[in-house]
Amino acid sequence: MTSVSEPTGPVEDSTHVACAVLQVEGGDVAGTVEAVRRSVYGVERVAIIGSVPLDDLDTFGSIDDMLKALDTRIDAVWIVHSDAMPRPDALGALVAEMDRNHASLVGSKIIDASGVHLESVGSATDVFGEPYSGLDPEEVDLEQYDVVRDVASISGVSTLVRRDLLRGLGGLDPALPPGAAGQDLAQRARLAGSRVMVVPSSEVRHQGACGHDVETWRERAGRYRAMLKVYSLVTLIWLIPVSLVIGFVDGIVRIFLRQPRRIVDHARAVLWNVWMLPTSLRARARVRGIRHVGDEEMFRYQLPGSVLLRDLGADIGERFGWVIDAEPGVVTEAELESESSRAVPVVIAITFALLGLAARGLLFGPLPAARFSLPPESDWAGVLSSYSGTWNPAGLGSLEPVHPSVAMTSAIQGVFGGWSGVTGLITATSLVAGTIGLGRLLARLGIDGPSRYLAAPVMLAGPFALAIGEAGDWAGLVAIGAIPWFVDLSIAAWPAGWRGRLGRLGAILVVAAVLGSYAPVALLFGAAAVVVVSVFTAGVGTSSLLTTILAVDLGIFAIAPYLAGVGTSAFSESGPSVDLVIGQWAGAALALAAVLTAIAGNAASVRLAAMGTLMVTLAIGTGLFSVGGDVSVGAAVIGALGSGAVVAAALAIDLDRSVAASTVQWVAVGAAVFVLGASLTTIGAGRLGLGEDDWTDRLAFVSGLSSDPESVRTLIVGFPDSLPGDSRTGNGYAYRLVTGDRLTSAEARLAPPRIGDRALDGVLDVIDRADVLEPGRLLAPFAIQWVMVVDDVEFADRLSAQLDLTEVPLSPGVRVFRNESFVPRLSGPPEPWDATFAGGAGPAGAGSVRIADNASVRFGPDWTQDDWANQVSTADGEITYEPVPLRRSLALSVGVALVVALVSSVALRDRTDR
Amino acid sequence: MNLVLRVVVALITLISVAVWTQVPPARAPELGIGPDRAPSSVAACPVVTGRDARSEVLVATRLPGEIQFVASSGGVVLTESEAEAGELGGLTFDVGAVVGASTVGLVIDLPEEGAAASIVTASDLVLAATMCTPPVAAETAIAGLSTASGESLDLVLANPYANDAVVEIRTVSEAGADSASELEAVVVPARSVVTVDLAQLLPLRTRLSIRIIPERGVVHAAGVQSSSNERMVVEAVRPSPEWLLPVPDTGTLPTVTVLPTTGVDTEYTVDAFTDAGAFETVATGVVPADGQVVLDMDGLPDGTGAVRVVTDGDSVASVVIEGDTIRAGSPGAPYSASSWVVPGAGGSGAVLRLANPTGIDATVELRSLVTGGEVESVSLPAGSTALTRVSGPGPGYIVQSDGDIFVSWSLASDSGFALGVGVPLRIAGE
Repeated sequence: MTSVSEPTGPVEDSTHVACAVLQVEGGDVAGTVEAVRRSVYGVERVAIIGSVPLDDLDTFGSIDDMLKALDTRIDAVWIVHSDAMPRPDALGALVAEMDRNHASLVGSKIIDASGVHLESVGSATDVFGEPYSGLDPEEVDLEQYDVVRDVASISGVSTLVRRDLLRGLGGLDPALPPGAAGQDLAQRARLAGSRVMVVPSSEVRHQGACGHDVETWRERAGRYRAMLKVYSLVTLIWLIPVSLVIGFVDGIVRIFLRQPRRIVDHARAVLWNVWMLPTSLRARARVRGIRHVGDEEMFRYQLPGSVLLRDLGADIGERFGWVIDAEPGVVTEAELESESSRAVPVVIAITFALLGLAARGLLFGPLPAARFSLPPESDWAGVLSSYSGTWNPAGLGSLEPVHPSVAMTSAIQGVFGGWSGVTGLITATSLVAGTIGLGRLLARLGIDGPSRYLAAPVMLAGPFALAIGEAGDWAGLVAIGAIPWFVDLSIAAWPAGWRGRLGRLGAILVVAAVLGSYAPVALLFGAAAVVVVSVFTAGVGTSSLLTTILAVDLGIFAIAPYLAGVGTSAFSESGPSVDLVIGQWAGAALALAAVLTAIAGNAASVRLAAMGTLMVTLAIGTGLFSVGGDVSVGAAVIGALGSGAVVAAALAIDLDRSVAASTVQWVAVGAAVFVLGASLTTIGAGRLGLGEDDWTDRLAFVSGLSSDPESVRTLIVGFPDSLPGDSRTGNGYAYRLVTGDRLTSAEARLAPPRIGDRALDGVLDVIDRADVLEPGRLLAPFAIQWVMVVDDVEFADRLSAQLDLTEVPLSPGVRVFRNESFVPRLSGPPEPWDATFAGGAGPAGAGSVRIADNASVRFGPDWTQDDWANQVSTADGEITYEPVPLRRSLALSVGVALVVALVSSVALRDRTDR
Repeated sequence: MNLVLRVVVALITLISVAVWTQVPPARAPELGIGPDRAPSSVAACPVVTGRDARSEVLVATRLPGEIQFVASSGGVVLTESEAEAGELGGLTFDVGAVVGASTVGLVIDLPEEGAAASIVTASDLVLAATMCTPPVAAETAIAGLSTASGESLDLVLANPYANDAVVEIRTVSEAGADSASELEAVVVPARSVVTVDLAQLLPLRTRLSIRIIPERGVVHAAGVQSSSNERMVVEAVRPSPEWLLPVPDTGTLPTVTVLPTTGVDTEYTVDAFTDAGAFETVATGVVPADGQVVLDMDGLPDGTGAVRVVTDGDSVASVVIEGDTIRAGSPGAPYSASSWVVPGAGGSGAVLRLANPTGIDATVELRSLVTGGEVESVSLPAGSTALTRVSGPGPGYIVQSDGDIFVSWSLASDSGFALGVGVPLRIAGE
């Protein structure tokens, strides 16, 4: 209900008013008292509420104490803060409107000390007690709100309350700060059936010393307490949990708005209320005695929704101001840039959050054992030894080193004390580095603003990342995080000083080593990307190309131990095979975004769209040659960078204020947004496209049923896509050997077949071609204790009529056969020998031990060839393996160089290049 | 950026995007194809001895080599034995002497794919013969048994292998499809023999045929039909559209039972081969779906020694002789061939039965697998049959011909009559 505030004129002093001047810190009690005494409307008694007496005025510790001491003639109490200066007619207006509207609690319009800006003209609240004044900051008082009206809450700076009501309510809650106390009083007054109104004609200037409008955790806590006191139990049942959730969301999001204190405030407010719960419940019991209306009466003066969330949205919107409501001509370009920059942290935070969700399964747990995504080997030192020239036990063993991604992961694992969760850390680092690196690269290519970060999910989780994930290559996903840095460092101008140059050299080596390790061929595709960039970017020329050649060389140096062991043929013959034909819809949207941006974008967007398109074309075009392995991974990595560039270019169209928004531009942006949305479909599974963990549980039985799992091999048979890592081709099926009770990344890739592999192939061929009564006996020399058939392949039929492979129901969904003729990997000595990652040990003796690995002269001591396998002496009680000197030297050199590069890249970095 | 440059860039982008559409999807990796399976060099069968009888495994092989016998029952391997087939290629192995159990599953690892084995069980009252069959994870069937009054009929399912088997058993009698719920999923544990008493489950069936359909694993089945003083064993064989069957002249008319396994009405024709030549289409008709047909041989031409049954779908056919003192039966051979391995044909009363189902005269050489055994040459005109009495004991014969023929054999003694067919060999390149 509202009524127009009319000039009151001289009023009869029929309502007897006492004034309580509330001492607040920093207030001028004497000045306030003087102002009160100048009031046109007579004040019968002035008292001080506080601890510091003034002249001859009575001083009380609380309003309650004052009420007890008041003469019975007093009808109303005017409570004024000691930092307030009421105008002489302020009290008269309050009394007049109180009487005229039969209100019991009225409040003044509060203006700041300058007399220009509004502080309060009453306020609404939401159902959670959050006040909402509707005033803009620094809003000038033009009497635009001068309407007497019912409100949910009034400012506590100047309030007039009927004495009987004040006594009935028990006065102000001494446990609450001023703002919350006023709101609490207003709520209780309304619950008692009284009207609460604001009287704008009663003006009070406020020095603001009390800080009543400053949001503190105590004010928030006070509002919670006020809620607990007045709402019915039914309302509280839903109100409290919803309020807590809103507070939590507000706190979390504001962390990313650089307001981390908010969540602490929420927590303190909740804890304070838990602590104060007994007194709150007692106060609630008192309120029950005066309740005349239901919660609905309070709801009438409340806003729908949550003011807290509305403020949060407004704050976020302010960060996006240039997108939401900034208009050219109204806001200057400089302001737009400023707002754009302010949005960057928010976009980065949102990007991190989205990527974190999309990769949560990789960040907070072991890698899913599926295809080439396999957990790291616990014996990280053994892996590094294998990489640096010793035996690689994958399959039946070989001298070829493990993939450099495995070695790099093991090295990092070693730094972290063998922590197997290091893959989560590497994934997180890749996502963060990829996001920042893409932003950095795009900024160098002329794209500023948040869109350069918004494109990161497309690069790191988009169609090409998904293709890598579906191929089961976690290493390739990691490499995506390094590619923008590789290109950026290649095209960046070299620092002026030698110090900075050394730092840059170190950084290039580190980035090239990471990229080369996790996707070796991406080094070459990265160089191609630099060539593409140089075509479209002024200032990127010969120097950048020379830097790129240097970067590629450093990357090759970093993986030299691998190249020395396998040569380059392994890049296309083993490893995951990425399908470079991206999804139909995502591909179409990406193409649309690219073409339309090239047509209608601003200069930087057009160039970037062209670069991105060529990179994507380079990736997809590689698919024309039907290549697989690391070549396809490298192509997909550059495709990921290109797709991110295209989307960033399209999204950057909107920033180009000089070009009028057109349908073409909006379609381009829409297509980019579609690609972005499609990229986030990986959030569902949370593994960036990697498959489900198929293998951890399937092989778990080995540890329970085999005394020395490292001495046991499992022959896995099925279709290639169902098998972990590389596989070999049988007669209508694929197969591979796995050693031990768990699959690790060290076993993922298989070297070209050696003598033992060919022997095994021959045995399987025999089983395929004719009825073999004892296939287990044929498989035993290969240390195969288990045969696992994972798909409906004919090989399983071969095992239906035989005598020594017994099917056991060990693993759901697959058929497992136990070889009753099993012979362990290390056999021969009377006392069993324990196998290790690439060798074994046991009791020393005069005999020999057979190693069921491919024959290699480097085994010792006293090696002899046993058919396709090895025999060594048991004299030393240990199997040795003589490393390849060149590979060992290379590995040591690379290790030292990487450490030096890492240190120099941090310590000597060029701080002016951001 | 000027317009020309913008157009150039847009064109480059457009052309690049066009390339995207030209890339074929990744091909599935080549897996190779399953090789042609060689004929099995493994044979297995249930061995039912009992009644103070003696069971012998008789092996005939063209190549010398080591032969492994593995007998199992009750989930365990009872014995593993190895023996050497000499230059002559014959071997006799006394199962009862090394096993001790009356019913076992026997699996034999033969030295070559062209070898074969049979079981001959003999006692004072009993003479029965059955062929061991290669393992197949596919349907097999037995035709022409009986649970008529006075007949006991056991279906013996042997699984001598390492893994459990589950089979569904469907039976067909003169009443049509005729089965019992107990037969829907019969589990035959690994290295075990399961005996199903069909006379109790399905009594008083004059002609009972059995289909054994594996759901998992492999079993070797045989029907053992006994009267008070005689026994016959008929092994389960894989269905085929053609069957060659012996018609021995024992004084008791044999019957031929044809059991289609296609589940649809099946036409059949019968050709007869006599010592005077061939008589084509002496009988024809339609076997109803889920039914069987029993052909009496009394309408055949005089001197018929063999018949050929051809159906327009897969079927199993067998010949059974049931008289007062005689019980004998055997499935047919699925095709004619120029090379036959005939294990079991040896000893007094043994007869090799030859038939030439083709239109070309043939000369047949019979080589006994005993030391000093002579090679006998027999001329076999087109469409004719011939009997050759075996001169002495031995594990069997190798029969070679210059044309496709059919070879069966029989044993006769005071204790009974047994009937078997040889194993035809398909020689590569023929």
